[in-house]
Amino acid sequence: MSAEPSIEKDRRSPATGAAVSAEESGCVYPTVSGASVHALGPFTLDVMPAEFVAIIGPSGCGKSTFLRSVADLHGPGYTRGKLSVCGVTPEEARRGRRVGFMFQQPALLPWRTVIDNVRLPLQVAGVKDPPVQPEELIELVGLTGFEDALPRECSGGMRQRAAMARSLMLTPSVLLLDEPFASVDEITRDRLNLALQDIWTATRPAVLYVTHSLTEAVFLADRVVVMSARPGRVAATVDVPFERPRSLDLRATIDFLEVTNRVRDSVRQEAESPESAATGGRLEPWET
Amino acid sequence: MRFFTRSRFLRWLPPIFFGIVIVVWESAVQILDISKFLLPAPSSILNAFLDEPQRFLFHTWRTAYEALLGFAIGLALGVFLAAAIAYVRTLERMVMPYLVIIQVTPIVAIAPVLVLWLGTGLAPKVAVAFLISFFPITVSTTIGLRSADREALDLMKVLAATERFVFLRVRLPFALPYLLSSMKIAAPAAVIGAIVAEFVSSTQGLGYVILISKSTLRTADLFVAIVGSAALGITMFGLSILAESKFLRWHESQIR
Repeated sequence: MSAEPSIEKDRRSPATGAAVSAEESGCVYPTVSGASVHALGPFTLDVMPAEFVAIIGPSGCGKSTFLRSVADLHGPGYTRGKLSVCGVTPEEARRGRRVGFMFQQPALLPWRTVIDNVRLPLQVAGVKDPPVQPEELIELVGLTGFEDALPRECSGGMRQRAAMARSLMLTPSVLLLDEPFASVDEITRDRLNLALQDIWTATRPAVLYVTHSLTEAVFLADRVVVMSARPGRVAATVDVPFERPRSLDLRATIDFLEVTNRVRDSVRQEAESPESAATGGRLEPWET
Repeated sequence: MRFFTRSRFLRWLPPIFFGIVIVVWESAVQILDISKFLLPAPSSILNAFLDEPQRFLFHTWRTAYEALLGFAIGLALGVFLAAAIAYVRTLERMVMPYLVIIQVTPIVAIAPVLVLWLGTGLAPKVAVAFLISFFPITVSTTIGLRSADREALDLMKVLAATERFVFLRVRLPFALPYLLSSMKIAAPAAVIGAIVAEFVSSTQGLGYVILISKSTLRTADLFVAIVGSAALGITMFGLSILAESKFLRWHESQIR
């Protein structure tokens, strides 16, 4: 695998055994007016099993598009290039229920109680004897006592926690989080990030975490991937060396600020010169 | 402690006002000496009913039966067709024009043809009640099935749920508010449909009572039948409200 000049050398290569492996992958989709929008790529990224990768980048750069590609949520023919999840195609991985997805909105079914929403994946998959009990996950996300509440009786943060428990119900190998805490307040967000770290430590899925928050990205991730403006490419990768479990106090340390600043510089560089990390003169391999 | 609180007053306002209307009506008929053929007093309407209650109840039940049957078929076929339309868009283009034509054509114009085809028994009444309740249910349920939460559907795809599961456990519940609110229109309309069909040809039902009472100038009987049809419509509406509060407890519209 030859690294593109603009991409920092990935020490985790080769891709064999990667939980998510994108090689010059991308996404082109048609608009209502008939034109086609090149939303993403070519995008090269490997996520190893049990690795926590945060993706950060300007609005509209294709971060969500990439997650949806990994989860096989686009229609057929949208995704270009090579993309594999758990060694198989995204569709096979999805059908094998190896992927968990947490959306920006909790997307709870409003007629189901919290516990029934968390149980939903078991019901869909026909799992009678799950490795983790719904009650345990509810406890893990701190919703004990609210099992029988309807979503509309819960606060936004509580709904998002229920959605988090639900996305973990089938213990996925790959967990995709698309700005999951964007709409909750900062204090709740801190708590949810700690809960997420605990859960990740306990269940060890590979995580792709899309966020707009530098602090959140650096606090949670093993590696922060900075994306360029649309069509999104990997502009920079910043490793985060901190020990786990990380406490919220870490965020006030010089080391933490130093890493955060490195990510911020990459993001700013990207924002100031949109061409800097672009193709390097190459055309996308899958576009004629 | 105040006895006449504002909320207590508001609760009793409708029945008090109803009482006032009845008293004014009764005294107006007495004082102005209005002909009983034109406007019978509430007391004579009540007497007309009490003279032969079984007769009126029988005919009311007959109409209720026709309306309920037609409505039930309309509900079943409406939901079925809505599901078909929601999944097969080409079907919408094929079927919808005919649905609209049936809906916009006055039901009184269609009823005679149905009597011609289906005879003078139960069938044409049920058919008209069905026709009138079918359209609102189909249209609303189609919209409802299509307005399932996008992210909930994405979630079901991530979970690799079967289409059957998605339909029964996600799309249908999301369509329920639409379906139930269309029932509030369709259920009372089914009563209208049944009575219209009875007008064309019948020997039973409230429509029949209305026709006979009118031609024999038994205006009090006519009013009993009117009250009966209104009561049927209100009952059907009430049943829809009941269904809504039972099945839609989770929905925003039910928050008090």
